[in-house]
Amino acid sequence: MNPDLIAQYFNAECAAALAPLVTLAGGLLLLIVAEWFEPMNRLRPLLFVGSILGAAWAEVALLNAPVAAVLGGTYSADKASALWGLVFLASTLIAWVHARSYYRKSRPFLGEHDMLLLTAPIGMMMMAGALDLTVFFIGLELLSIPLYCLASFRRDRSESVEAGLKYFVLGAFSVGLFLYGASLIYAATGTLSLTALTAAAATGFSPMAQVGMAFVLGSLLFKLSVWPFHLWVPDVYQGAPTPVTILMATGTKAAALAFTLRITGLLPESSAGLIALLAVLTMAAGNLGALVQSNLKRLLAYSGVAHAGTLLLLVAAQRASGELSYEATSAALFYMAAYVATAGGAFGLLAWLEADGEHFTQIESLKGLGRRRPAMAAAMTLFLLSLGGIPATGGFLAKWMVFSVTLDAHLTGYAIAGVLMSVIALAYYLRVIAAMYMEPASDQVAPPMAKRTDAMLATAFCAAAVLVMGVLPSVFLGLI
Amino acid sequence: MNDFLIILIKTCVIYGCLIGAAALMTLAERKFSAWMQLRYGPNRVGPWGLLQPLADGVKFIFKEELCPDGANPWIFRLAPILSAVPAMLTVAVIPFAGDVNLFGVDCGNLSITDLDIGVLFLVAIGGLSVYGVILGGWASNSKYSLLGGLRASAQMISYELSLILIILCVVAMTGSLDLRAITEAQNTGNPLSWNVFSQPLAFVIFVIATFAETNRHPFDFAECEPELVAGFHTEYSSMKFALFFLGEYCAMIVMACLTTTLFLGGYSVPFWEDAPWFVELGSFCAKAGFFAFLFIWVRWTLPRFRFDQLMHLGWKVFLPLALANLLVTGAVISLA
Amino acid sequence: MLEPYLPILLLVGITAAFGVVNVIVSDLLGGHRAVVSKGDSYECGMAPEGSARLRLSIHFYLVAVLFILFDVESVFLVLWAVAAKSFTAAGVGALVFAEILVFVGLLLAALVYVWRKGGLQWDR
Repeated sequence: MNPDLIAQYFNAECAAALAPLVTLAGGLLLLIVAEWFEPMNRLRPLLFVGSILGAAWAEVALLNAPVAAVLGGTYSADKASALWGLVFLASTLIAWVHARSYYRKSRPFLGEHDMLLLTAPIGMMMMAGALDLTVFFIGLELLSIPLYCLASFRRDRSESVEAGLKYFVLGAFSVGLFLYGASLIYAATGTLSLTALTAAAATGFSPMAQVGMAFVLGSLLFKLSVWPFHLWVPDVYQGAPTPVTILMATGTKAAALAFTLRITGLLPESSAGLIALLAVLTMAAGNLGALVQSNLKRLLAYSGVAHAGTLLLLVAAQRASGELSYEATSAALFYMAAYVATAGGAFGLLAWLEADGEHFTQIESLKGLGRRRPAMAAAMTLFLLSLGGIPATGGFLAKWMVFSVTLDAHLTGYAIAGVLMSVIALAYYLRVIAAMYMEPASDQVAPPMAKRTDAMLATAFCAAAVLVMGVLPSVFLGLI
Repeated sequence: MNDFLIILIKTCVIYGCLIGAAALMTLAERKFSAWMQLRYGPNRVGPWGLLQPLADGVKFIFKEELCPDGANPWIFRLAPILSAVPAMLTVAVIPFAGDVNLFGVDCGNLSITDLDIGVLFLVAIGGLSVYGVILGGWASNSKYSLLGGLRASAQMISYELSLILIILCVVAMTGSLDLRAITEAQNTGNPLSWNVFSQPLAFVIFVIATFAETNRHPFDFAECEPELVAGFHTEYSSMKFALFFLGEYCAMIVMACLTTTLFLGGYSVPFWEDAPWFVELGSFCAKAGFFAFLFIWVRWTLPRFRFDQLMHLGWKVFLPLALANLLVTGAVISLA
Repeated sequence: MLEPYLPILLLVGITAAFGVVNVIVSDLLGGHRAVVSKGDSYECGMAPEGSARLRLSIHFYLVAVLFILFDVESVFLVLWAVAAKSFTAAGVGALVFAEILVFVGLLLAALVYVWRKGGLQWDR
């Protein structure tokens, strides 16, 4: 056994880079142990929050002392990955807090729910830090398999089971695409390492590798919910338990985006226009679909598709400008951080409403909410305005950064199309706000809701984050 | 060309011996059961009934093939082949003796082949037998067959885990997956270096797990006649039934050989390190013969378990014990 | 490199031929006399009742899934078991063993979890 090889895999850098993953995995193991005996079940919240906070602490430590590449150059814990990690952890924590009140009537396998929920960020972090297609694949599976289970977690509701099955079948298909693409790339170039592949791509990929790359990109676009791979989104987001939707809408998207930005160097330069076109089509599909929805959860799902389009514009811009720029990375991180707070807050409020009865996610039933629950209606308004990109919210600055990066990359036409789409989007967000404040309550109103301190805290946190990002963005940009 | 001839002869001879031994074992089973129950057993065909298996074979060939209505005819015919072939293939890696020198011709080691991944080959190919069982049970379109096939496969895969983990203990001690290397490591002339003395718990678990793995009494739930008539081969007749039967006995013989190789020093002869090959072969056959006899002995001595007891034993006793045994072995090797 | 596999190829040929020839020959030589109810599946002499394509107990499915889990575990352990001695010789035996301990510990925790949740219980 070569001692150099061993030293390469067991050193302080490696330990620091893997600390967040190991913390989460350790927490996961303790969660399993806590399921052994009834009295230990009470430790569950402590373990969950503890491991999330521990992982966050490890990520913050990595921010101060980033590690470029470890484990034989297959995993990186640079500054961007650490920040992505914090985004994933925030998304998971928000989902978990809302899950606590969401399942209070039917209490299905809460221990298993927490285990699966804690597995997902491990996968996301591996995806964001992967420097090797194999590592990315393991991360993708670690993220996807828990989500398949979680999507169908309300077994008493046929929509939930349908969502899980749909997500599973299509997800398996996309994973198949990825594997096929990766094997073609390997056959053509003899390597799966991103560093080596980038070097090979600089001299031009063979047609076989290009086809492989197209497959890999296709599977990533599926996870990002980009047109024409977006058709599963409304059904799955609507059918899945709402806390799970939070994780799917924010965390999964962020993880897929982080890796897509990493591999833009492998795409041919001429593909920038095509990707930008896909981005605009995605925005169109999302916004036009959202216009006709009567269910708020479904509306937010379509809005999520539209946001994926905006993010894809960023990918196109980065491909057009060549190397991974500081602006593009910070725009992506800021956008996703704002989106986690905004969509997490909005879906969280929905989860709060929905726990009392499924039909309360209809826009109809929100009528008069401004009078009955002013604080809640105000928070929902804030989130919707941020999703629409109104100034003084995080969503506005995020969009502004993305469009400015797009303009810098000379994709002017696409940027203008994107701005126009954002205007269309305002129409449906304002429709919901109008329903809450201007219309009298119908008979389908939500009953007075149970007080949930934890859900309230999470919503307040999201609202505060959205406002601070809109008014004092330097707090966040200083980190990047 | 000469090499190829030797390979061909060795393969055919060992395969022929396996079939012959399996046939003899069917006779032995009936003879021993008869003696244990104070009967005579088959004694009409040939001296001491020795030709009985031959007569059985001829009878099987001329019996009518039955294929139940609604059965899947192709899978129904394929299943017995799928069950018998893997069981016969596993004999390929068993080392029966050292270097053979016959009439001045060096024939190499007495085994069909010496693979450096021998153990892995044996476990992998042996594991395929479960397909024959479950497909045969399903294709018969009979409730007894289906339940028997399911039970058999659940049992086989459950005990396969403990079996593999126990084999790994021996592999870790030798540092090789080659069955001949495992034998040679024990062939020191001193019987105390046989693995059975350093791994007594592993030996006991292994022997019991082989009974479950081959669906033998006291774990023969695949065909436990008071419940399931004849289990997965209820609907089988003639040569197809005989193939299942043959496969089962071949699997038993290979398991006996494997137990010998892993734990009793294989072909090594006590207090005689460099014994000639025929002495080694005799030593191997004596040990393997004992384990083959054990299969019969246990069948006619012990009562049958219940299926839930079997699964409890496999998952709640053997699996943790086998894991613990492997970890202790690993600790001794790694921390020494 | 593949030379040791030649006898195995030979043996595959012999055994497969043995199986196929036996099935075909007995099909040809054995008698065939169609009789009503000969094709019925055997149910101790009674007329067969219902279909034999039954729904199965969930336990079998659970056993299959657990088997996959632990079988994959043992595949990983094979690699370690073969190299355990050379790890010790290289002076990293304790380190590698600690890693294996973590790996097996994870799966043991899972086994206890399944056990506690009643996944190994057959008499329910």
